[in-house]
Amino acid sequence: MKNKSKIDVQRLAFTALLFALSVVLAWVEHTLPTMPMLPPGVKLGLSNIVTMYCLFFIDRRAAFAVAVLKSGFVFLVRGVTSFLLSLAGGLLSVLVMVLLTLPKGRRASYSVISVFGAIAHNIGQIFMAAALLGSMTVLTYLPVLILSGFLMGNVTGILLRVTIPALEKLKGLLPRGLRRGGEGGLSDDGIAQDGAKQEGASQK
Amino acid sequence: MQNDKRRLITRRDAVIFAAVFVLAVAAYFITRPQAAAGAAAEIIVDGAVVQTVSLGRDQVFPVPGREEVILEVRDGTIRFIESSCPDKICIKTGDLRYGGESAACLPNRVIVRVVAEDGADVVIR
Repeated sequence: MKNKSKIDVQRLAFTALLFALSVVLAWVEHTLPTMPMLPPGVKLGLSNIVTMYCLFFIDRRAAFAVAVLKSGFVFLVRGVTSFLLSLAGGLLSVLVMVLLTLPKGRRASYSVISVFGAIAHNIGQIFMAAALLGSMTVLTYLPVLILSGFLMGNVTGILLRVTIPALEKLKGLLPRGLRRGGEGGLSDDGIAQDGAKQEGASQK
Repeated sequence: MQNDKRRLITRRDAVIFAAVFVLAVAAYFITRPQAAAGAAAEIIVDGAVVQTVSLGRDQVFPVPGREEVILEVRDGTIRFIESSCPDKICIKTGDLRYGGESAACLPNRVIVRVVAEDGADVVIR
């Protein structure tokens, strides 16, 4: 009971680490050459991999936190317009992905969550862009953005599945509290939750 | 949620994807600007048309009220050539020629939209 009011430091540290990773991924993406066939402004959305990881392996709060923090970082380096676009895209994306994880019976696959998250991100951004510009003209880009969201969502979904073991290793670098006892490396189950329980138990 | 065992993709998802893809492609072709060369371009700042320029006469000029944004009309096309924005998406959009085509500079709140010969935004054939 007493622990409830305390800040879970390890969880905080891990979320912060993941946020840092999302910033690095955004930077990596920025340095990549733009793909000539794609319309301007279309990006892979690599940092969405981190948001999805938070959603799947920590919890919803962490996913929203990383999305909002990422927008805050965008505000610092790129200004208020980019911040609003990032926030609209990020929040709608996480919201849609959260909704897709809610049904317990039939689990949505990584690809579906990733693709609809990416499409939601683009839809959030284009509506924010329309609001900022005070004109619906830009909504004509919607089909292009849905298609690119489809494409990029598939790419990031596959990348997430491929990088889960690496991200698990990152978690392994943290103190025991966040890890599942005696379990090393690759595992799809109960890491964060069990870790949190152990933490609570060890502190009585 | 933490007990996360998901498939990368399932057969059901593949069906959903096919439907989304077909709808998006259809929407793309329905809304795509058709090949009717535009006669003029509207310059929209803060949501209001501030200037309409003919695409018939080549010129380089700043956007009214946004002097740091420079547009160029050349050979019946219009494009952003200079802007104070950080990502230059407006410039990368390149030449606009056909009715309904548009480019936008978000940080400066500027849109350039080509309007077709007969005044319609989009000509669907």
